Amino acid sequence: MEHVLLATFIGTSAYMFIESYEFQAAGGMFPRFTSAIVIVLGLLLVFRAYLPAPLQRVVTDEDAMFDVDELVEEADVEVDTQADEANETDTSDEDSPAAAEAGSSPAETEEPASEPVIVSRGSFITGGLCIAYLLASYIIGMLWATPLFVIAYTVWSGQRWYAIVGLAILSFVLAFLFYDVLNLDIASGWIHDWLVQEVL
Amino acid sequence: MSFAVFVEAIGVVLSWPVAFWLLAGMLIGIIVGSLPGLGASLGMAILLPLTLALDGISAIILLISIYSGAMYGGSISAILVNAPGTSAAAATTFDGYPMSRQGQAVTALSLSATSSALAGFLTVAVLIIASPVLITVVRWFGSPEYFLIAILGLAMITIVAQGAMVKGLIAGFFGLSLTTIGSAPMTADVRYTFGQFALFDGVSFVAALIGLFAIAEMLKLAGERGGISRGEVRMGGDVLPAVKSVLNHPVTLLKSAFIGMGIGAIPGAGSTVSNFVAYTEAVRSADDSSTFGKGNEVGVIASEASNNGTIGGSVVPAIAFGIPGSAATAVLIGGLIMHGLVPGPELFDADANLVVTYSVFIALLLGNIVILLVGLGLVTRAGYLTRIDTKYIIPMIIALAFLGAFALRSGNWFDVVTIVALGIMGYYMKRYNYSIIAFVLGVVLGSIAEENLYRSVVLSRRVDFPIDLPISIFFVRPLSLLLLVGIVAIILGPIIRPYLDR
Repeated sequence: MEHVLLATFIGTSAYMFIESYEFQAAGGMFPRFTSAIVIVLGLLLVFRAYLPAPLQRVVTDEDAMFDVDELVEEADVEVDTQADEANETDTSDEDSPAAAEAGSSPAETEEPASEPVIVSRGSFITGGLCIAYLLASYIIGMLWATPLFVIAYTVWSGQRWYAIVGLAILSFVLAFLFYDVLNLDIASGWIHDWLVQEVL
Repeated sequence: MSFAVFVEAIGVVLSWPVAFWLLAGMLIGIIVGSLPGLGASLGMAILLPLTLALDGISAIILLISIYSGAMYGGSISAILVNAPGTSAAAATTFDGYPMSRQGQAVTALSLSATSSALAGFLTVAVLIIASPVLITVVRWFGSPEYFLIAILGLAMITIVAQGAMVKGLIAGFFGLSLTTIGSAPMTADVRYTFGQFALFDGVSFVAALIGLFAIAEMLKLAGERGGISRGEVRMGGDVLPAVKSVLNHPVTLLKSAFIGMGIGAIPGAGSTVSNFVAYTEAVRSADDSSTFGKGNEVGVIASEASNNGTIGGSVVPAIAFGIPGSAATAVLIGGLIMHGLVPGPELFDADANLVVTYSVFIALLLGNIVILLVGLGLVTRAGYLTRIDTKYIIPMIIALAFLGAFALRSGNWFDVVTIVALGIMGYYMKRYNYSIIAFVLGVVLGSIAEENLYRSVVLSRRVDFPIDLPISIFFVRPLSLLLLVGIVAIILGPIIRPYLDR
């Protein structure tokens, strides 16, 4: 997918660069400057495998001034080392149930109630539902599409029926507040306009 | 003059309804901060469209209070369920969670509230004391310098944050490119609109922020499992001994707070970095370092003092130069611009908006008192927050994002398309290590950078320079030249360094 991302950057910028010559000199200067840089950098990334070694290293080097992973590791190692030293010299702590329970390093603590497990399918379906929500909002109006989206998401994520109903009602109330308080035209969509103009 | 403005700002922050928004922001911040997967930037981005109904000062104080509250809130789930609500509280899990398992959850939460509040208070107090110097420095900057500092900020973010520098730069410049859609700021050109009237005003940076921080985050969260407490959390321990413990460790508190402040001021570094640096330093310098990772109170103090200390540091480049120190300050800059408050000299001019800047500082100062009161007062109830399933939150946040985006310009469908498109793009950018903060910086600062570049080109015509260059002004002003050298050094540094090492 990274190539799709790069193609989006380069394609959009190429169009912007060419089109910038249609504007007045002052109006075209900035988009030409930014899009030219995006094109050059994008091409460097696309052809990174074929670049000379020094340039390739610069393009692909992901070292950061502050590498968070490295910092986490460093903090973990500090804690582990000190804990090991303590275990060697003093075992009395292990007799305490609380200490035994918390004795392992944080990284090793079992039962991480919240350890995230990557499930890309969830992201993919949520993205699809967002696009469907956008289309439904345009066709029938956001006021009605909002609870439908919430129902679709909660049903897919396997929530209990009362959670589904509760969240759907809450989302409708939320959408209604936008409609009523902010006077947003979200109660009707394209289908309503089509019915009024073509059918009725 | 500045002192009179400072006194005026105190009156503003304590007046109705500003004080209400300060309190509301802190509470919202604590809640969004405590829910794993959400956090300050998302909370701020999602509420950004709703602040349109507020006056500028109320809106900015609401946003900055969410930021401050979320920094503390992140520790609640870190301590109770070993899942930091924000990455800024990640190191708090090391000792906070073991304390919780030893039946000392109330003590750990009280340590967190006290150290967060005191560190936040001290760093903001220093910021206020140092503000006259800051005002003087900001006044040295003109249009050429502001254009160059935007580029310098982008370059710095790309070397400070994770991911290849080239990826960071491409993200930042693509963000800048997107802002060229619509009417040009200095000419009559209407650019890249395909004749669509909805595009004449360009890409709304608020919609971009919502897409990048709300939709992209929700897509990421939907791909993860967990984040809530599966069982009862035993709320044992005492409040007062914890407060005393913080006061008994003034060196750790001060050191961690100012590590946070210093790192917070570096564009792109943020509170996650300061959190681990401060924690590691606390372990390194402790006499009883063997107890770290087993529920050492000093570990919680160091971690929590550093992340709230970061706030004071990160607002400086944000307000003074429009360069975000973190994702949350990027949204704050968006909020400032949305309410007509452009980061830079205007926010430091006693006759213009200095009162807003001081109000932000004072709100941060008072916000720490709220953290202390809420943190210590409701500490035994904090467990409720960890029982909210993120699967309930995702559809509601997405719905709010859609409704908020549609409300931005009273029913512009292009804004809704923007949040979906940039949400999906942001998700993949994160996945492949393209800097989101650099992208946001580009989107937020694009039009300001373009205006400053245009003015610099106009000013260059009046400059006596041996070569006919449209940007000769950059070479004749000492500060511009210094910034230019800085940009070149940052970009070429990684290329030249191996040769210098040899």
